Amino acid sequence: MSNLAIELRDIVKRFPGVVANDGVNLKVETGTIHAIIGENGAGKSTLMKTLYGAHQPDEGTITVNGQVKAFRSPKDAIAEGIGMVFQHFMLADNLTVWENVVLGNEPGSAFALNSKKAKARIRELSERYGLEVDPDVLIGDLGVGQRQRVEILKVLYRGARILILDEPTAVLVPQEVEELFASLRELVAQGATIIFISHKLLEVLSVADAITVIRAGKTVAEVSDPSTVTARDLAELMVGSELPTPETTTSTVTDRVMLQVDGLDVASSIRGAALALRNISLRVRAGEIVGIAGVEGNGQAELLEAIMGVRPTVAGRVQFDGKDITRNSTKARREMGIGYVPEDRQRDGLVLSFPLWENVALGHQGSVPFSKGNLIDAAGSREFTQRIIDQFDVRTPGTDVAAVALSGGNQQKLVIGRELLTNPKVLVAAHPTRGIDVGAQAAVWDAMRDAREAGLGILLVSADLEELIGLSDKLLVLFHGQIVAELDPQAVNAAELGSYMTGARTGNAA
Amino acid sequence: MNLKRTLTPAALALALAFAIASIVLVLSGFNPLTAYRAMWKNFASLDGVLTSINVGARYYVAAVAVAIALKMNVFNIGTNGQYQLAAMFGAVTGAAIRLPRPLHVAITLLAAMAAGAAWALIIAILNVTRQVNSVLSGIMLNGIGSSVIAYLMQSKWTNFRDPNKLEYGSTRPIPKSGQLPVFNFGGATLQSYVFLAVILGIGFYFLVYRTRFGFELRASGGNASAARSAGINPKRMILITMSMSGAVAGLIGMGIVLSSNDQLTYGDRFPGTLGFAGIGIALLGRNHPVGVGAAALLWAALDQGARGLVTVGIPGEVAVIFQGALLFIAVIVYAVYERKTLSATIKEAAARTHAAAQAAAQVADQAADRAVTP
Repeated sequence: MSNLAIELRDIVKRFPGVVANDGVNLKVETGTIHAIIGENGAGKSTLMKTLYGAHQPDEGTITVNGQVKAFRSPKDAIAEGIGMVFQHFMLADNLTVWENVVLGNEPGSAFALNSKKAKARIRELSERYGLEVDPDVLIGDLGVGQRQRVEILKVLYRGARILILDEPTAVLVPQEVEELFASLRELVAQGATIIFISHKLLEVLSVADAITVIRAGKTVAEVSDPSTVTARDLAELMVGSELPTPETTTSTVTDRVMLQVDGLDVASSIRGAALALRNISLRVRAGEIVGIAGVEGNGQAELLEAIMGVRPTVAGRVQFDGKDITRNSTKARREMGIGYVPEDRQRDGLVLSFPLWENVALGHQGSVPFSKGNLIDAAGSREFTQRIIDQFDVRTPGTDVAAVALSGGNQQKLVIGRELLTNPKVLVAAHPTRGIDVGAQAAVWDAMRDAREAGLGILLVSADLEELIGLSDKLLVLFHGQIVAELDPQAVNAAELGSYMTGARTGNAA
Repeated sequence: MNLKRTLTPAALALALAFAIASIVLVLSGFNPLTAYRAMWKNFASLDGVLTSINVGARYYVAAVAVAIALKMNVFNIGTNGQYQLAAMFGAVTGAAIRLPRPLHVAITLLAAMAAGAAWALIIAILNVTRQVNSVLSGIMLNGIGSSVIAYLMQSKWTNFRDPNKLEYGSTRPIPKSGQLPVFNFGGATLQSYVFLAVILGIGFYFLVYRTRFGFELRASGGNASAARSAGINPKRMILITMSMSGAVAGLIGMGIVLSSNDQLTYGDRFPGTLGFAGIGIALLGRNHPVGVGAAALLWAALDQGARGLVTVGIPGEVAVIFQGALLFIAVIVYAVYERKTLSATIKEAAARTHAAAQAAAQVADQAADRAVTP
């Protein structure tokens, strides 16, 4: 085997008091897509940081294209043609694509930027690898999928031939995932090597040429032919035990309508554009989960924000438990018992500089146990936070750590826990299990099922179709700001649901 | 640990500022040691220390006014105009009413706070209703404030301007019952305004860190979008916070107006830049009630020391250079230090998370072992 692009042998990386990587082995062949999967905290990121030169391993060797290397910094790794595409984009919105790509690596002299050269190079790269990016467009005008391609371009521009992608699909909608995978295949066909970190198993199976599974800092399996394994096999390897499913049991739907939306129109945030939502009507009953399916950007975010009173409505009515709340403030709606899990937890759900216990009080700051009268109750909030940490397996050193120190999955668990354990009567939730590991996903599903049984009405927006079909009592499909279909989750599969979501099919099917 | 994290960068900034001031002195042909000795000599007496405390109290109030707004990421650059208008209205009110001592003082102070709050509220209203940048309107209102004062202090408005004072413009004198007591220590004096500043500091701490309102204030500052989702109305917060900031700003000049060893009136000789000094001091003290207190005292002590420089023939502006350098360096050092602390926190959390995960895995493994062995 002389065509190995990367070989990591017996990598050990210790942090004070812990061994994050404990003898990891990894062989990546040149010109392949190699997936690394594992739960949050399994040691994937530590391993990739080792490979990318962000830190040095305590033991073990890194071999790149047959030569043993020691990276002292990411610069060394880039010099060897290894580039990293991070999950959170690092792009300046007010600069164009080409300016972002060359940033920190500008062609030309100290006084003049050679934009022609840069643009030509970017066009060439983008054409060669089928990335379809126009160098002159502002980043702020691009969608998430295109931004990701710019990130990939950035790495390629610096001469990388081995690309590490950290959970690249976490932020993408299904079609964008397809486009990304097409680009990845093109890159590989041109001789590049890709290391793909993920815990979305179906995606891994569809794109990877080989898979390495990591659990608790160790390599537990190497799969050289993904067609021989199923997603379930991989998941069990990852967790090391049996798996949960999102299915709900018997119906607990009552006839008490908790949330009712009638003829709701919501303006688009883009000035002059058409309505973001048109004539939306829906009902969520106590003990019912109503799933909203739809390709992202079809009005889901606007719907949730309008129900929460964060976004103004143009027409229509929102009722909670029979009371008209269309004119009520967000605060009043929350105090009535509407829980909210926003789509973007970092932007809308957390204050990253606050400790966990303050974040748990956020949105519930007016009620017990988070405050007494006009004073904040730190002790009560800490205790409550500890309950969330225990029940949802939030991996954290304690309740006083700033939220920024937690990984995205753990932040998500904290937000979900906060909204579920505060006994809401209605929960409005977007992507409750996005980005969290299999074990915690089960805990979230369990908690949602339990709450539903106890009479909670849930409006659930999710991009995970299995989750939607498995949990919902009723499915509504949102397309271009309108509800185009009402479906029975018992009678629909993911593929059919997908065709409704793209507008290929409409109407109410049983 | 927390204290160490606060003190280390502050000490570092102070040392660097000393170094820069020394270099400036040497380059100007002065002996830094002579300068520092003269500054120390002017400070290190009962009078020097008490004067520093009296002046420090004003600086403290000025910084707290700025810090309240900064806690929610709103920059009240208009405190300079707010406190001068407030001092004038306070002085006019105090001179116009006749009441027993505590009530007279209280009403005078309330009048000043109301004037400061009203002037700050203009900034907030413009921002909330017309999205006018609060820094721009703050700066403009500082200018407008000066003009309003100049207009009202014309000799034709005898309710404002004291017709008996011809040599310079001044409000009418405030009667004895309207004055804040001053404590005399053999010639050196301590103004009771200092205690007002201390109470204000305690109130500030309590409000920001212990109350629900303070929580909402900090949440809005930390992440406005998340605060909105949490039911905190951003417009309401801006209106309340700016009024509070302006009300506190209204107190900045009242120590001078109401203490008998000072001016006792508002007039042409009133200090005009306390508001701007407060911005720097809030920055230096990192908007924390205690940090700001230390910064205010340091600032006032440097002022006091600077007055001793003339005795050795060195321009007093050296102290201004020192203050400027200190501010500049402090901002840089704080930013660097904050990044370091943050990455250390993240690393620590990650490491501990790993520890927990591995412990859990071990327990699971053991359980699995036990399950298979009969």
